[in-house]
Amino acid sequence: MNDLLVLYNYIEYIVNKAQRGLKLGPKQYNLLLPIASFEHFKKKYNLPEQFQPGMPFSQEAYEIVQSNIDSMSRFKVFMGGDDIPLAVVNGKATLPADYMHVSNIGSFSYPEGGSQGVHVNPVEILNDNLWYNRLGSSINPPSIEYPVVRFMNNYMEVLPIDIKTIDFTYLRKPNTPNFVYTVDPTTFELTYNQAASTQLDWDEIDVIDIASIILSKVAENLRSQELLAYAEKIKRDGI
Amino acid sequence: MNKAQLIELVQINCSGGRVSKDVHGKYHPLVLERYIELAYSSLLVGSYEKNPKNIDLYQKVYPSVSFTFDKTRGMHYSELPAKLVELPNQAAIVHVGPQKDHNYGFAPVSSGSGPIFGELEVNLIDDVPEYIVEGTNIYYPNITDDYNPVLMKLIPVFSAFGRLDTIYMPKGQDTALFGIVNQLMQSLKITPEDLNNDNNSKQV
Repeated sequence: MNDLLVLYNYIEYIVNKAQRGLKLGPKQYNLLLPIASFEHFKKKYNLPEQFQPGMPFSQEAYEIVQSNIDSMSRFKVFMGGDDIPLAVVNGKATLPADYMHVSNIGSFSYPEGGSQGVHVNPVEILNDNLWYNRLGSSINPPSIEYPVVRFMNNYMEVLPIDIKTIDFTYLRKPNTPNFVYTVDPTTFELTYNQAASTQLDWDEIDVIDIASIILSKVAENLRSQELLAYAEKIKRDGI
Repeated sequence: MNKAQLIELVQINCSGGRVSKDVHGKYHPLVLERYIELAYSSLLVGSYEKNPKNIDLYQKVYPSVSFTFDKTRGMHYSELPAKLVELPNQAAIVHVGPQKDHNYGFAPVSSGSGPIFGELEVNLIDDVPEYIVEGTNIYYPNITDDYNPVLMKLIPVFSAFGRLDTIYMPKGQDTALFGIVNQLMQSLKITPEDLNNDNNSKQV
């Protein structure tokens, strides 16, 4: 299923089940693919629309269960260990261009001249509401062992300023899928170019959900209540 | 158990088993350290009052504490290298003496007794260095530079121990520590953190 043509054919099959000429054109398909992919990403990370006042919990959230971890782990990028950690220059760490959401941040220090080994320090993510209170704290101000960050426009502010690198695990943006095809001018037959296409950045299991998202949008476009009900049922029940 | 393990155990206990990065912020190790410090000092004082002899395990040795001359006061003095547990009769200062000769210790003198001792003949014939505790400093009225630096055996507060220093608890009081810390932290547990940046200190 993890091929754009198979997905296209599947959607065509569902859309055209009444055989009344309802059709999804390849141009519309290309328009809907990245939106559906991002919508699915949003649902997998967490849906703020499902939050209740004072209870920021959605039905599904990042790494809440193993199936979510399996889906989302392909977007994980780890900067650290054997790879190059994220550089911090004068307390600023520029976010990678493909950054989407943070997963975790850590740093390493060598307290007391290294006599007590490496100290692994989780880096605490603060919001602006907490930032200056922690900077001025007499009990737990930012330190090499207990660093803090806050997110700014395209960078993170990291304190204390002595920190030069951090281990940064983040979720990258999903690739933008692209269904490349040609149309024969005489027969109007569509020819799919798999090699030039960019496939969906998801597991096969997730492609089923993405198909449902596309189907419900197509249903809205075609004003088909029947198709909409079917697409919503798949989204609600999962199968 | 060392200090880092004790703090982590309290953190695990507070967070219900697993310490996530969010919980790490709410039950910050440095804040927990202060709570444990309150409980630890209270248990040590209780133990000392029951039996003053059982304090050897809780001491930390500071082998080279240097002293300097205070021109204003005309006396040598050292800064205490750590904050001490407030035991009765300055019992938290177990020993102050020369760096190498452990059989020889300086004589503790109470801060207000100088005028009295100064008038006694014993003060003229006895050359044992004396020390007087004044807040966070120790003054030496009759010490010579030959003793610099000095050795101190102290009973410091919990936060003065290093991460990997073994922490001894008064006999049978290990679990009592958790009880006291839990009691102190009740308000932390029942009050959810207000993370909404909305100029409203109340929870939504």
